[in-house]
Amino acid sequence: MWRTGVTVVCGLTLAFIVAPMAALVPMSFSNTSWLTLPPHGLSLRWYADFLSNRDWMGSAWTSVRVACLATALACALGTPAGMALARARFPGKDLLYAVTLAPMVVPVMILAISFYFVYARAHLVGTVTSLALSHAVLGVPYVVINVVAVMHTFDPQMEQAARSLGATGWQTFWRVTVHLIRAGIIAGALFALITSLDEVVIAIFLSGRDVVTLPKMMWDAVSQDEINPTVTAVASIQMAVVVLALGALEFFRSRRRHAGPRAAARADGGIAPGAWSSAEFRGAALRLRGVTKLFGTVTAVAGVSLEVEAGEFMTLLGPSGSGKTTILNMVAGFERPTAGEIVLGDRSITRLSPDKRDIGMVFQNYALFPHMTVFDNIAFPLRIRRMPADEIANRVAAALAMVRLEGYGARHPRQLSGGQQQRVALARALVFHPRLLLMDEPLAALDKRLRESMQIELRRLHERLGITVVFVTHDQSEAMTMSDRIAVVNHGRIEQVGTPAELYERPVSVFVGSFIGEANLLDCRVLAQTGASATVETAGGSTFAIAANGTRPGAALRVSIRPEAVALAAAGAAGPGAVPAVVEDAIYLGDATKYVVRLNAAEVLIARVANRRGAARIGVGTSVGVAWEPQDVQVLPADPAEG
Amino acid sequence: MMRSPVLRGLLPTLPLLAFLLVFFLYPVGQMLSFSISPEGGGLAHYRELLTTPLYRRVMWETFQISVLVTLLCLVLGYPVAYTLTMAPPRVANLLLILVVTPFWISILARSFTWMILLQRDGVVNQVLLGLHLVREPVSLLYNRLGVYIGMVHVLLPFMILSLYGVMRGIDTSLLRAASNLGATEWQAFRRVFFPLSLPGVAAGCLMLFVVGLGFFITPALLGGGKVTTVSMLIEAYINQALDWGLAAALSFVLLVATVLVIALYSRAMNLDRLFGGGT
Repeated sequence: MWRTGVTVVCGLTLAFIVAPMAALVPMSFSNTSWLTLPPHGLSLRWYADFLSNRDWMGSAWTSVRVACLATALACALGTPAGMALARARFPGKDLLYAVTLAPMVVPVMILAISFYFVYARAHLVGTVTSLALSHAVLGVPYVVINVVAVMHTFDPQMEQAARSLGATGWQTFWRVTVHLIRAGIIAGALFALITSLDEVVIAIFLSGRDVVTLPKMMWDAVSQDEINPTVTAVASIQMAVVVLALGALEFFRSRRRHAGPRAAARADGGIAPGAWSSAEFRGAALRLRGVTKLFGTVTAVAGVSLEVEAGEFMTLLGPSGSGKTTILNMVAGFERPTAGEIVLGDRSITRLSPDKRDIGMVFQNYALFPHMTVFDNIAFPLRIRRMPADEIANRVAAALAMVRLEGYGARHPRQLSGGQQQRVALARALVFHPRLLLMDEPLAALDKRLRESMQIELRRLHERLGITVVFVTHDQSEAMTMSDRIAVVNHGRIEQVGTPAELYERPVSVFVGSFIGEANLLDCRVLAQTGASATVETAGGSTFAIAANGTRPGAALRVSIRPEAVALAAAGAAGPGAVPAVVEDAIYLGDATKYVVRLNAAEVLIARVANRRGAARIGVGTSVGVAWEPQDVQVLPADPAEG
Repeated sequence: MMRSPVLRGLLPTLPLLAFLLVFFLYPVGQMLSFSISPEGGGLAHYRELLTTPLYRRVMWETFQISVLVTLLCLVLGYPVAYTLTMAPPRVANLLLILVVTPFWISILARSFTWMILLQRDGVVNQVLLGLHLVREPVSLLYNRLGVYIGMVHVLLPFMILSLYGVMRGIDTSLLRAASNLGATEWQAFRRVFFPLSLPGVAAGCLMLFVVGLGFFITPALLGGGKVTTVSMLIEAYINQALDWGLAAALSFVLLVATVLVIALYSRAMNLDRLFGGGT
C-alpha cells in the first residue's frame, strides 16, 4: 500500500525534474516568437538566429575560451594537490582541504562582487583573463574532489609495486599513478568545464563591452521582460553538447571496462620446470638487527633480529596484527624502521629507497597495473632498467613460460583468473632476477585446491632457483608446507625461529605451542622428581609422569601435549600410570577420530586417534584411561602474556 | 631525495594554495575588509543593517525560502532516492539519468523554461483548467510560489544524490533480516531503513540550506520583484545604488551565516561526506 504511494510520488517528482528539459527542446523549434507547448509550427529560425548573430557567436567563442583556460588551470593546480591531500600526511591538511573546497559553499554573489572589487581596480574587468581566473577558482574544488575520490579507489600497493620493481618516485608517478587517476581527472575537468560554461553571476560583473560570455548574453535576453526565443535554441545546443560530452565519457569508460573476452574459466597451468635455471639467480642473505617500528605511540615491531641465509625459504608466521607485514614492508623499503638495521648481502639497505633495493615482491592482491597488458606488466621492471627491447622480449617470454602463461601476454590483468593473476605477479617479481623475493600472503585469495597446488609449485620453484624468499602468512599449514625455517611473530616480536619440526615438537612458548598445530595445555605442580622424570599433579587433581630434569617438588609448570600423542584405552585395559577419564565427545574426521575426554571437573583433553579398519570406536560416556609417553610432554616456560 | 616527509607531502599543494590565496582569499578578504574600513563607511553599515526593517525583512525572507525549499526537496526527494535504492541496478541507472538531467542545461535556461511553462496562459495552467481543477488561471509566476518551484527544481537533484549516496550503503539484507524477524515492510522501513538513512538526510538538508541562502538567479527571474533575497539586494546595491559599503556589509553577514551553519555541522560530520565525496 505505502509502496504504491512511494512509487507515485517518485514518478511525479521525476516528471517534475525532467519537465523543463522535455519542454525546452520542442519549443526551440517553434515557428512563432511567442512560445507555447506544443509549438505552433516547426522551424529552425531560432537556431539560424543564433548562428547568424555576431554577438551571440562572439559570446559563445568567449565562453569556450574562458572555460578551456579555467579548466586547464584548475586541473593543473588541482591534480597534484588532490593527490597530496589523498595520500600525504602533513599538519594543516584538513584546513587546506577546507580552503580548497570553500569556493563551493561561499555564495557565488559574494565571490562575484569580490572579484569585481579587485579586478576593477586592476583594470581587468571585461577580459578573458579575469573571467578565466575566477572560473578556475570555481572549478578547483571539482577537480580536487574527483582526484581525491579516485585516489581512494586504487590501492597504494600499485605504487609500492612500481617502486619495488625499480621505478623512482617520478617514474612511478608518470607510468602508473597518472594512468590510474585519469578517470578522476577527466571527470573533474568535465565538471569544471560545465561549471564555467554555465556560470552567470560572476559573468554579470566581469563581462565588458567586448568580452561577454554566453550565459551573460542569455541573462540579458531573459531578464528583459519580453521573451526571446533564441535563448531556447542556445540552451538546446548547450544541452546537446553536454549530453554528447557525458555520452562520450561513458562510452570511453564502458569500452575500457568490457575490452576483450573474459578469462578462460580456470587456470590450469602451474609453474613449468626448467624454464629458468639457478644460474641466473643469486640469492642474498638478509639480516635484521634490532629492527623497531613505532606508529605514533603504537609499537608495531619491537626489536626484531633475524638471519635469513642465502637461498633460504623463510616464513614469517603470525596472527593478523602481529607485525609480520610491517617487517616485510621495512625490508621492501615502504616503511622506514624507527631503529635497527637491515642488511641484504653485504650492504645495509636500511635507508635505501625501495627502487634501489633489487628486491622482488608479490603483493597480497597482486598489484598488477590495470592499464598495462600482462606483457607490459612483466616488462615494467626491465624497461625501468633500460634493457634493450629484444632482451626484454626474451626475458618476458621466459617468465611467461615459467608460469605457464604463454600466449597471455596481450591480455589485461582483469581478463585473467585469480590464479593466473597470481602467476603474473610472480613472473613480474622474478623477471629482473632480484636477490630476494618477498611474498605477502600471496595465496590468501585463491581457493583451497589451487592454494595447495601453488604451495607445492612455489616450493619447487624456490628449490630450483635458489633465490632467498621471505614469505608472510597467517596459515600455519602453509608455513609448514613451504618453509625451510619459520619465524613465529607475535605482538611485534619473534617468539621462535626454527624448522617446522622444531617448532612443532619443541615449542618454546605457549603461543608457539598453540599457534602451530593443536595442543593440550595443562597447568601442573611437581610432586616428586626421580631421575630423568618427574611426577606432576594438574590443577584439577590428575597426576602423571613427565620427562623433566632438575625440577623441584612444588614448582609450577605449564605443559603441552599434542592430541596425537594421547592414547585411549578402555578403563579395564589401561596400563599403569594411565589417567582415568570419561569420553565427552567423539568427532569422526575420516582419517582419525577426535575425542574430547574429561580428566576431572576442571580439565579436558583432546585426543586424536588414527582410524584403522575394524578398530572399534569408543562411545560417548565411556570411562577410559588416557596415557602418553613422558617425553611427549613439552614443558613450557611460564608465559606472562598468556596469563 | 627524501627530505622531511612533511615537506614532500606539502609541496604538490603549494601552487594551488598560492593560487587560492591570490585569486580567492585575497579578493574576498579585500571586499570584506572594505566593509569595515573608514572609506567603506566603517561600522555604520552594520548599524544600519541591524536597525533598518528592510534588511531584517530580506534576511528573514531568504531564511524562510531556504528552509521551506529544503524541506520540500526532502519530502519529494526521499521517495525517489528510496526507489533508486530498491530498484534493480538497470532501472536504478536509468532513473539516475533522469535525476541528473537538470545538470545538462544552465540554471538560467531552466528558469527561463519555467517562465514559459508557468505563465498565465502557459501549459501548466492549461492542464489545470482542462482538468477542471481551477476555474481561472492561477498565478504561478512572479511570486513566492514561482520561486519555490524554480528553486526546488534546481536543488532537488542534489538532495536526491545526497540521500542516495547514504542509502546505497545500507545493507539490504538488514531489511530481509527484519522481515524474517516478523516486521512488515512498513515496520522494516520505519525501524531499520529510515534511521540508517538519517546521515544522508542531515547532509542533504545542510547542503541545500546553505546553497539556498545564496540564491540569486532563480528568485530574480521567477520572483518578478515580489521576492528579494540577500544576494539580490547585494547585486542591486552594486549595480543600481553603487553603494559598495552596504553591499560588502551584507556579504559579510551572508558569509558569516553560511560559515556558521557549516562549522556547526562539520563538528558532527566529515567535510568529505558533506560534499558527497565526488562521483
